[in-house]
Amino acid sequence: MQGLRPQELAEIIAIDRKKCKGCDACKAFCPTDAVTGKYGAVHRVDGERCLFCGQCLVNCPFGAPQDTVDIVDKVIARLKDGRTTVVAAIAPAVRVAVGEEFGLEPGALVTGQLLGALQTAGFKILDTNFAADLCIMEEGSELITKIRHYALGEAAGHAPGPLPQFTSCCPAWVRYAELYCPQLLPHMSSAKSPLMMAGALAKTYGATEVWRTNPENVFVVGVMPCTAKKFEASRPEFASAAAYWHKRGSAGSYPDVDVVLTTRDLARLLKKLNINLTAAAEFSDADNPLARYSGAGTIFGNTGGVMEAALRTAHFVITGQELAALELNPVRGLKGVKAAGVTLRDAKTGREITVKVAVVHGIKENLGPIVDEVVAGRSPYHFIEVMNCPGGCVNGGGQPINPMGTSWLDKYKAILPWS
Amino acid sequence: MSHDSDGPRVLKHPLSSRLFHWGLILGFLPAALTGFVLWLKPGSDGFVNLAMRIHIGAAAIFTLSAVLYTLLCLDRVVAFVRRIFSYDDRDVGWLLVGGGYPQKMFLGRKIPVPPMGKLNSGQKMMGVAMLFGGIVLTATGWILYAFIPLAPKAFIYWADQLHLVVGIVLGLSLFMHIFLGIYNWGEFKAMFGDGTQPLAEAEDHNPAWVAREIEPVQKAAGGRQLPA
Ligand code: HEM
Ligand code: SF4
Ligand code: SF4
Ligand code: SF4
Repeated sequence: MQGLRPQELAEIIAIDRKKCKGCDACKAFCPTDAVTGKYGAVHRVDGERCLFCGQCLVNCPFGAPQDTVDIVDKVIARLKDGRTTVVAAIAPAVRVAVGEEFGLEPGALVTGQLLGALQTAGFKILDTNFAADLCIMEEGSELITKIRHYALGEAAGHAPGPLPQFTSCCPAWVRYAELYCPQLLPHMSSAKSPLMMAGALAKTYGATEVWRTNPENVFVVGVMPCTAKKFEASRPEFASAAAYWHKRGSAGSYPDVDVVLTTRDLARLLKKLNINLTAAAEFSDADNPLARYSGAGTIFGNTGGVMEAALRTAHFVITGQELAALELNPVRGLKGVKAAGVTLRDAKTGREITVKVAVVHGIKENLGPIVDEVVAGRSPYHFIEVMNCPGGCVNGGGQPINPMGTSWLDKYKAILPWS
Repeated sequence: MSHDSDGPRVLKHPLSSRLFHWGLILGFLPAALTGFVLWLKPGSDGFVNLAMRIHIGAAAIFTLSAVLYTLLCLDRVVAFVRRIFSYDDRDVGWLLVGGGYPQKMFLGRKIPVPPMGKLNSGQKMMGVAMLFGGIVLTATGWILYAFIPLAPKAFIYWADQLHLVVGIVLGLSLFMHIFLGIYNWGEFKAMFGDGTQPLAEAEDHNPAWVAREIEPVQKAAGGRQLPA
């Protein structure tokens, strides 16, 4: 398949032809027109265009699109084999959603029970909020370098990528850029996503310092609101732990993150193990530093979260002061894009610069004009956060499917058969 | 009552009803046929897509005919609704012997059946099914066509299930209806002709109707019309 390397998962999302009614609804949600099929006829996903974001899956009224990568039994086998240290790296958006699969109100925050349930199942915990903090530090300092270089005219040790800087933690967005606007790739933050950082961390520091085991015995399971993360984990460049140990003389090749469970997969796994989330014991792992985190990462799963956190870091480094409340305002004429300007006074030189940031959630609806500006070289922004899913990861393609959800209320125009 | 070679004739289906019936033939029939294609999706994408286009076109004809008939011939619709909801013990007797049809078709025997009005018990039940089923199919059909994203997914799912089940039931009933319409050739000729039927035939099929409801027209020039 075009653009996919042998290790990479292909066709994560496929439409069950027995269930598909050909109603066209999914087309209104697909960011890349990857769903093909005439009105009435069975629809198909074109793997060469698909971002694996799962938006079609969570929005189809007939449950036809399927997540074909089912590794629940594989994870259970690892949990039970007595040899493997199975580490769960849990994304923020999972903990507000997984309760729904156990009959709780949508949006109920169940962090304590979730971690408790995972512990009962035999997982070690690595909170991706912790890794998100790392990611924010990385993206923030990268942004600082670029601002100092391009806006404040300081020399940089190496040529930093061009501004504006795009966030790179949404794998659907990264694949979108690779497939549809490769000229933007130099603008991408070079920081990898929190999950990929978590995987590398688990198989280096975590293995030797926390769980005291051979890195090859560590099996990292991402627990994500996202089907595209399954793809991200399969990308061959994410094997930095193995590369790290290679340099230190040990052989072995393994990915940083072995598999990804979506929120739905996780609920299935817990149910298979007869663990009831609502009755799970509270989590206790006080001496595991990787299970602790700052508040900054918690907003990662929300729109604007990454950007705001990184901006806070940059603000602090450049001005020496904490950023007061950041207010993102809708950009006039661009529905679904929010922006803010923050004036920073460089503590070193006293020079002032207004850093402009934007947040785009929902590639399908909102990305176009922002990308066009960047390509044309007239983007007013320094830093742009892009999340594929409308509203961000809380509405990710791996989340529980809410049968009464009308997240699609404004979609009708796009799918009217005569349009 | 007019007279010709078969003897006097009665008007069973006035022009408005015959036109509405044509609306059903051009609307309901293709919708039902293409509905089965949409359900089973045999053949190429192009074929199923064509079926969908025909389904929607036919649905529009069906909906329009039903709305116009209701608005312009409300009296006939009311009469029809009254008729399909009036049952007595003659209907029980009729249904018990299947209207005499099995005996006639399979044993070649004509048995006595309780006297029927303008619609026999089977037709009345079919009428009820068509009335409610038609409303359900029209409502769910248009929801599925144009309003999918305005409603919760579960609602759309159940609208589709309802459309499917009612569509299959009515679609199969339609085949039955066509078969019996042709089997009773006189009925076919009446509906597709000028709407009249020989009195003798009506007396055989609809004795209670002939006895109670129709009355001879005071013969005026060319007068054929009778209340139906
Ligand atoms: C009167 C207005 C009607 C409209 C607007 C309409 C519209 C539709 C639409 C949009 C679909 C596709 C549904 C989907 O997305 O799965 C459909 C399917 C179907 N229709 Fe209709 N329809 C109408 C009448 C009928 C009638 C009269 C029949 C049969 C007697 C019928 C039988 C069917 C069947 C069997 C299906 C397949 C359903 C499935 O596979 O789930 N429809 N119709
Ligand atoms: S929304 Fe679902 S049923 Fe409708 S065309 Fe897409 S996959 Fe098929
Ligand atoms: S997974 Fe995303 S990109 Fe792929 S077909 Fe579905 S909506 Fe489109
Ligand atoms: S927005 Fe979040 S859930 Fe959606 S594709 Fe990106 S990372 Fe996955």
